[in-house]
Amino acid sequence: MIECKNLSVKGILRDISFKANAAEITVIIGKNGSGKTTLLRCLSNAVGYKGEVFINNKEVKCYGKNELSRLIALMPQSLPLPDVSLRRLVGFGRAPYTGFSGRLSLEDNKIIDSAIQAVGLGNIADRSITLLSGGERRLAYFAMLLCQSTPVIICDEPTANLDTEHQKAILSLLCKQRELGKTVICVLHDINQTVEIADRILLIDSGTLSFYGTELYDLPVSHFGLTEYDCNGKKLYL
Amino acid sequence: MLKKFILLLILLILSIALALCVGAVNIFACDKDTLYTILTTIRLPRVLGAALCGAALATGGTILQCVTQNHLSAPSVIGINSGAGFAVILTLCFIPSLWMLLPVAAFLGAILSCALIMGIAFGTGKKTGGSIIILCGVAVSSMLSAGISFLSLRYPDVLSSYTAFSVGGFSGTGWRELLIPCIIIHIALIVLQAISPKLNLLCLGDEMASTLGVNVRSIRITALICTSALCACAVSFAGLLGFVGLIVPHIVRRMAGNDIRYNIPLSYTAGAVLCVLSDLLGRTLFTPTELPCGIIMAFIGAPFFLYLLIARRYKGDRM
Repeated sequence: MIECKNLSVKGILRDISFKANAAEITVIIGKNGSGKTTLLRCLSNAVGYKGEVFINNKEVKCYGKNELSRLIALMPQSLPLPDVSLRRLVGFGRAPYTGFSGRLSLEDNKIIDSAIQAVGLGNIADRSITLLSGGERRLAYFAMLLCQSTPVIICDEPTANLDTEHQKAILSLLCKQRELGKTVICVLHDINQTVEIADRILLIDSGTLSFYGTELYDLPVSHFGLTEYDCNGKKLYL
Repeated sequence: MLKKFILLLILLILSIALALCVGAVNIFACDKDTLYTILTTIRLPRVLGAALCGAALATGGTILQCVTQNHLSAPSVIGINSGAGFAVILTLCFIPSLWMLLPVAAFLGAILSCALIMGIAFGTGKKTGGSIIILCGVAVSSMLSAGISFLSLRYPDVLSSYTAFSVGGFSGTGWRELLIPCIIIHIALIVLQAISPKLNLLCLGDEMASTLGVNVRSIRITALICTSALCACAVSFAGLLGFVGLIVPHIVRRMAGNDIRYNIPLSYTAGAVLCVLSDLLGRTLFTPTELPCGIIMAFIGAPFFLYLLIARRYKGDRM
C-alpha cells in the first residue's frame, strides 16, 4: 500500500495526497506536462520532494536502495535499447536478489522463464532486444518488472505507441497483477482504458490533484475535451 | 565464456613464450649466463610490461565504454593521454634533470586530469550521465593538448623525447617500473570485478538501474577512479598507447556479448595478447631498427577495427 501526504515538488507538484491500496489499480491521468511522471518518480524516491510518501506505513526515504528495489518495480515511459537478449534483460529484474556475485540461482531462472511465458514471448527469448518490435519490447520490460517480484508495480504510460493487440495484452497483465494482490499504479492517456481497468483515478492538473475517486462517472470528462457516448450500455469516450 | 577465457589465456602464454624466444639476439645460440641475463633483465620485464599495459588499457576501455554507454569511449576520453602527456612535457621543459621521474610525472598527470574531469562532470549536478563525462573529457583534453602544443613550440629541444613517450612502447622497461603499477592495476581490477554485476545494469539507463537497487552515482565514480588508476599506471611505464583501449572492448563484445562480469577477464587477456604480439612485431619486423608498439598497434588495429565495423554493418548489428 502506498500513501502520499501533502506531496510537493518545487514548480511541478503541489500538495498531492492520495492512497493506492493493494489489489487495486490506481490510474493517474492528466495532460502532458501536468506532473504525472514526476509523481511516479517521487513514489520511487527518484526525485527530491516535500511531504511524505509511505510504503507499507514506512517513509520511502527510510528504505535502502536495495530494500526499495524489492518493494517497487518501475517501468519508465521511454525504454532503453540495450544490446542484450530478451532473457538477459528479463533476468536484470532479479538484480535486487542476486547479491554480490550477480549470479542467477535455479529459482531465479525459473522466475525468469515463467515471467517470459506470462508475457507470451517464450518463442523469442534468445532474440536481442534491439531486434524486437515496440510492443514486444514493452512486454519484455513488463516481464522484467514481474521478475522483480515486488508488491508495488508502477508503469508510466505502458500502452503508449502500441497497437490495440499489445495494448490489450499489457492491460490484461496489469489486471492479473491486481488479482495477485499487488498495488498497481499507472499513468494512462486513454480514458477508455482508464475506465476499463481503474479502481481509483487521480486526475492531475497543472501539478495539483483535481480529482481523486472511485466513481468513474464523476470524472470531469470535459477536461479532456472528450465527448461521452453510451454504446450498448457501456460508456465510451471519444 | 570459460572456454573463450581459457583459449585467450593459452594464446597469452604462447605469445609470451614466443616474445621471450624471439628477438635481436638468438637466445638458442647463447651461453647459459647470457641467456639468463637477456631473459631476466631485458625480455621478461619488457614482455610482462607489455602484457600488463595491454591488460590495463583494454580493461579500462571496457569499463569506460560501459560507464559512459558509448562505444567510442577510450582512456583518452577521461584525459589519461593528454594529462600524462602534459605532465611529461612540463617535466622535460622545466626540470629536465629529473627525466628519470617521467613515469611518476605521467602517472600524476593522468590521475590529476582524470580528477579534474570527474570533478567538473560530477560537480555539474546530481545526475551525471555518460555524455557529460565525455564532454568534460573532450574539453579538458583539448585544453591540455593545446598546452602540449604550446610547450613543444616554445621548447623545440624536448620534442624528440616527448615524441618517444607519445608514441608508446616498452623498450627499456625494467622490473622497478613494473612493481607498483602491477599492484595498483590488480587492486583496481579486483574492485571492478566486484562491482561488475552493478555495472551491467547501467545499460538500462540511470533511472531503471536505480530502481533495481543500484546507487548509480557511486558506482560510476568508483568505476572511473579504478579506470583512472588502471590507465595512469599503464601510461606511466608504456607511454601513450592508443587503440588498445578502444579496439579490445569491441573484440571482446563480439566474442562474449555485453556482460561486464565476463568482459573484464576477457579484456584483460585479449589486451595483453594484443600488446605482447604488437611489441614482438615491432621488435622483429625491421631488425635491427625497432618500431614502437604504438605504431604497430595503430597499423594493425585501425584496419582490424574497420573490418569489425564493416562486418557488423553487414550483419545488421549495432556497434
